[in-house]
Amino acid sequence: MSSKITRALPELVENGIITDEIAQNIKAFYGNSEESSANRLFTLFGILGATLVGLGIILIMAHNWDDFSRGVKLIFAFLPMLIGQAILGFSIFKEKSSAWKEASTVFLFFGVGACIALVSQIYHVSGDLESFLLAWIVLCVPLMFVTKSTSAVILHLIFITYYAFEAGYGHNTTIPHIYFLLLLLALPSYVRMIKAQTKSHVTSVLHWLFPMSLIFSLPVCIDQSEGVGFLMYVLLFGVFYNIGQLPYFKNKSLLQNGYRTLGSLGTVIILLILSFRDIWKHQFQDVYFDSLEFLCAMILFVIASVLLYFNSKQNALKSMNLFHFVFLLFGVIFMIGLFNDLLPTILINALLFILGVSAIKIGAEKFHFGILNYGMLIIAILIACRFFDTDITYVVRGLLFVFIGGGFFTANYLMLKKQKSKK
Amino acid sequence: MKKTYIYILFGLMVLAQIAASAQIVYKYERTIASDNVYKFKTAPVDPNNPFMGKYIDLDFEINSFETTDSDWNRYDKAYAYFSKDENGYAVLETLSKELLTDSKFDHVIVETYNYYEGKIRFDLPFQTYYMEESKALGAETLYRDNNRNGKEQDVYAVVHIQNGTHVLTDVIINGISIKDAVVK
Repeated sequence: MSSKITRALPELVENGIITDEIAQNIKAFYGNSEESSANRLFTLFGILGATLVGLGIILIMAHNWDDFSRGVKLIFAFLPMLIGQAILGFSIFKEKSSAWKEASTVFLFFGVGACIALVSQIYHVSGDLESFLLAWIVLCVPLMFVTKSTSAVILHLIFITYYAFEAGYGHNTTIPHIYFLLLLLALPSYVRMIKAQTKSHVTSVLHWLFPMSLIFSLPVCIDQSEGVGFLMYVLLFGVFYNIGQLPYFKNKSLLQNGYRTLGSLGTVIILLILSFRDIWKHQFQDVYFDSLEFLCAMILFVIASVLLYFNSKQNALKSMNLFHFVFLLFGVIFMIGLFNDLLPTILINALLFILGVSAIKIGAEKFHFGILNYGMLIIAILIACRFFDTDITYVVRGLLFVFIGGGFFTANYLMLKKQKSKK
Repeated sequence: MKKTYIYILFGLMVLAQIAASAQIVYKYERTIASDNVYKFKTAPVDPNNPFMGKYIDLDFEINSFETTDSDWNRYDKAYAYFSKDENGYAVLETLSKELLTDSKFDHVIVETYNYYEGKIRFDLPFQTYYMEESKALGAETLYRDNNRNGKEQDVYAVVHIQNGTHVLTDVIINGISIKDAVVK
């Protein structure tokens, strides 16, 4: 795009549309941005290259060369890590570019993993993956602080999530509280990036990775009280949605704002699951108020409430929508669900329907086709879900779908027409 | 962060990364150097690990202990004490919930998995023998074929044990290291 504009400049100057000075300014502006995008590309390829080389070394060593003596194998095990340390040291002391630092960080990260894995392999250690991952992550935590490397934070988040999976899922599992500590360790770097480079694409990646890591790892806190798990998730999505509405995220697109997107989608998905009466009949028999799950839920509730209060102070109440408050409403429905299964089912269905309508309204107000169709999709899926647990004739089902399809067409057509008339 | 702090943190990180792996190497090399070798009768099977490659899983003959104490939970840690018979094969002397300070036998820490018919079953902690990727499946096949043909087989794992640290160094099948037997 920028090259097209710079190529057109001489013609524009020739025809007197812009002055020579303006043309020079435009050239300078795009020259800088091209340079920085070239740098970014160089960094990206550096990271990709280092990742592939690091993983390649692990795979080559995993071949487990029988012909080498133990000593030679040990040298090969330590070599990638030592090379990574040397290159990273060189990058830090010589103050090399971020491409150097990022690539050497990634290479060292995999070098450390390879070293631990290969030493274990050489001595035939039957150690479990959980402790191996933990050692690897802990040894690489300083990488987030010695360089201002974004790839260190990304790798840290990916691997702590993997660790939480390994430690917290399945049988013989302990609740890996250390996961949360490790997540907190990534926060200073994350906050620094938010403050430093609000327009960076990498920061946008982190806005997705942080919430996704928590979404995947939350079940590790669910031990004996699965019913509270639903409450925890709704509260977590409430936290995310309210983070996504903070002033920093205000003018960011849905793609740049993982918190808002995941908060909204997650809330709808959990509520759709809870719109079935059977869930309320069977999943809420084991709710204990003195359990770890309930403590987690309380913490999430406090965080979500503080964020909601902050958002209500920052924004006019008018600009807030139902998605902000879902976690509060669900808290009440959850309490009712402990004594009754019909009423919460009805309330959840009503809540979902209102959420759908509210999304349609937001979409229509903002002229945002995505949000408009999202609202209609919520209602369509809600109706489809009800076909499974209600006894409606095929004719009525068919008519309902025809009606929804017609609604989709009509709403989009009206908005398109409105948009054209505005132009 | 100040540059000095960054340099110090970088130095500490490098030391920790090297020390973490080096201390594992030191611990196992000392155990191997002790030359306190036990033979554990076993049978090989073949899975693999995404980080460390191909290995054979060892199915040991010693896998349970007779006891009247039924108060064992799945995944409990226990101390297995071994002596050697005249041929160097391991003999399980006792299984204890606590570390026995006055025992003359060598021990390893094992994980229990169930108590059934007067026996507590457990997994020995050296069940993994890494091999060159082309050989792991061959090792299992060789053992299975020999079994099918009714051949008398002597398969055992060579394990060094010292102060609770154990290192599996080889698997011997009919007098030959399994990695060489597969080639033949």
